Amino acid sequence: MISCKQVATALASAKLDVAGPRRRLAVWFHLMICRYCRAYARQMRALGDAARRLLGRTVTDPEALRELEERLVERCRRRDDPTSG
Amino acid sequence: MAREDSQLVAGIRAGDPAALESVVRDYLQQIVRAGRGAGLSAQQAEEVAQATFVTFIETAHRFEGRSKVRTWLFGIFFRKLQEARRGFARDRKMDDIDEVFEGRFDEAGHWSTPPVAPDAALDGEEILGQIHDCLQETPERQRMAFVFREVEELSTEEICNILDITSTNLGVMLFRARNRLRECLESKGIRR
Repeated sequence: MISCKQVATALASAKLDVAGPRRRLAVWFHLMICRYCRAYARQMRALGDAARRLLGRTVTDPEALRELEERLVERCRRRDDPTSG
Repeated sequence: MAREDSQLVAGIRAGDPAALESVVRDYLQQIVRAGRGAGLSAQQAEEVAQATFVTFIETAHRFEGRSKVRTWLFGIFFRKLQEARRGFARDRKMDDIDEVFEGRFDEAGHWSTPPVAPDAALDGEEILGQIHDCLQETPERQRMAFVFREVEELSTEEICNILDITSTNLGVMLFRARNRLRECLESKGIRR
């Protein structure tokens, strides 16, 4: 029987991405019967959701981003122009 | 998303302004966001993004197209980020979060201090400020492994290339980042 600690470790380290079907089934079955590990699994998912929401909305001011983009694009073009420094 | 076709790769290698420009337009926002994810201020994130693209433009002829443009760019970004922070303490090999995690289980591997109830407000608004603070307290590599995986949704292979670590190492980084964030949020009182 797989332990809570093993389940939590697998969930946090993304080991399930590469785990075989037997291991996945064992974790799935464990989650069915263990509410603590279910809570932990839910929190792991929620961390990712919260980070996506946070960073999705903290993107730089669009005006500043556009200015930076223009500066860089200018640089791409200058690279091709032997008359510029 | 950029076209990853051979024409684009050839254009980048040749220093074709249109190809370079398309890379800037496609990825600038993502790179700035990654800088914000690294805990930089908006201005610092723009500076690191600028340094990233300047290096990209200057070294474009060395791009062989073996990795994706995105991987190549994020690799430059990560080096620029580290340069920008030179002098910061390096990640410790043993990490106190490992002990915190161990301490939550008994000898049989059962929870001795279980996580708080799943109904705690992890989807609410107040969580965003807290996760921002908790991300700040997470060591660089762990934080970037987490951000690259969860926010940028890069593959294991890409993240390992960018951070120059093995996939086993990446598992350890993610494990530590997620447990550190979880513990941090719990200590900030999501238990209510």
